[in-house]
Amino acid sequence: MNVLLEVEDLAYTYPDGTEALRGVTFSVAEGERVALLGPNGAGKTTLLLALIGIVRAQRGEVRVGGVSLSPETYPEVRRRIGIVFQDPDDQLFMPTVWRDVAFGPANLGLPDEEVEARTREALAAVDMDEQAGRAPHHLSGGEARRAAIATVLSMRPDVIVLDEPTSNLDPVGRRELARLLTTVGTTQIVVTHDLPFALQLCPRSIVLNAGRVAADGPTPRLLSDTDLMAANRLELPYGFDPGTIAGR
Amino acid sequence: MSGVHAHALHYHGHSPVHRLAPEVKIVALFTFVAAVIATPTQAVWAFGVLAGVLAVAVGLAELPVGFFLKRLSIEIPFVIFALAMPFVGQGPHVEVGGMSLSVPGLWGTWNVLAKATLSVGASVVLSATTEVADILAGFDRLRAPRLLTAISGFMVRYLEVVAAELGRVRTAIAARLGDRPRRREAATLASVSGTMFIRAYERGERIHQAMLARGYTGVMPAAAAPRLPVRWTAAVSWMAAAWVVAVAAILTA
Repeated sequence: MNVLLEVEDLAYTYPDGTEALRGVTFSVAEGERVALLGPNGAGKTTLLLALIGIVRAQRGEVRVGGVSLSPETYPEVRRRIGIVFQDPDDQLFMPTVWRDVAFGPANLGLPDEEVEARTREALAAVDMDEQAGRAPHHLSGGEARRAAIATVLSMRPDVIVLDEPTSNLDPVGRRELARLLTTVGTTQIVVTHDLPFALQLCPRSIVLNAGRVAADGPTPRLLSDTDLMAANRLELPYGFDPGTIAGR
Repeated sequence: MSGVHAHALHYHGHSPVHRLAPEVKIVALFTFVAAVIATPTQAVWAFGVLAGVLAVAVGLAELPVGFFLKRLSIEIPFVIFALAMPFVGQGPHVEVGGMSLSVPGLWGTWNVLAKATLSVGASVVLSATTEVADILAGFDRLRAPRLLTAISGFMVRYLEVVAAELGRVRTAIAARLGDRPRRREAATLASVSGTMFIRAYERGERIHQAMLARGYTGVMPAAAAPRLPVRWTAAVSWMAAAWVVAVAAILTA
């Protein structure tokens, strides 16, 4: 498999001295779906922001599809890596769903017809074509999540990174999201506390703790390793046994 | 566009005015208001005719009279000031029902009342027939500064988010204060406003990050919303009618 995303020795310390990332290294191959696990404060959100240069890492490198992250390549890297933030109220900032999905392609400076075609395509991919004219605050939790994913799909990214995609979703919304993510098809990184969701969708997981990669391997194996789980403050729901469930 | 509407001022419908391009309606509103303002106060007949011109728009928009009058009531706080003018005005006075009223003051009241009512009425037609997002897109197409329309758009978008956040904070306060007097609640809410500010500020930061993540470079892209028919002829004849009245009133005054 071709390596699509490479992160090498990425380090970032916040101005107040908090070391959020202490040399993170991993790579993701084309077409892979990888879960990024870790306790609160492990540095997951900082890592997402560092991938596209919103947080500027003091050390290390990010390469996506052969393009190395630097201020000159921000537009290109931000097109290739699409981030779906945790709160759809942050992601959907335009007056209508349509204008929000069109925001990314319009920023790429594409001609109007191309912006329209991509917006239509992205809305259809998440089954939101009917809601194009609606205001984001009138969407249900599941609809808002799908609209947020469409805003990234319209940029035709190489890799989609989702931050806590199942938060605030009811079980049906969560199941529909799982189905949607398997149909979207691009390379995906799913940051989540929802371990059954990770097991269901992602064959491989990376465990981040205290700004370092603590483990990287097949999800079923990591989730069955009780010592590793305890050391990284990861916990399965009561009664959930990954050994009895066939991971993907 | 779907059947769910973004704001309370909107009246759902499919009238010719609803289907008119927002930029045309905005131009028509400003032209009409300018005609109303230009009409001399003493030309009472002209205001009657202008009211007729406005009534045509209300009729074409298929707005129920009750709905229209209810929305007009927004002008009441402004008009109350005008009602005081005959009592505090200078100049010659007339006796009306045992009260001595200033004549220039009476004209002042009429001036404010007539012009405000007609202008607010025209604004009601715009807001009742146009979604907020479309009004903003209309201003964009009229080449209003992109930054201003973007700020207005954010304001409309996040007003409800912040209001919902405030609502949750109020519920949390009520849950712990129980049946204590409202005065106490107000004091607590005041101290909470600082927290609300910080929350709003942090949200602003996160939105900015989300914008950067999708290639925002400091310039808002133009609205690529589907365009509605423009029909300038019909709109321009309506605007012209208002101005014919205004000019006739100026010439005869």
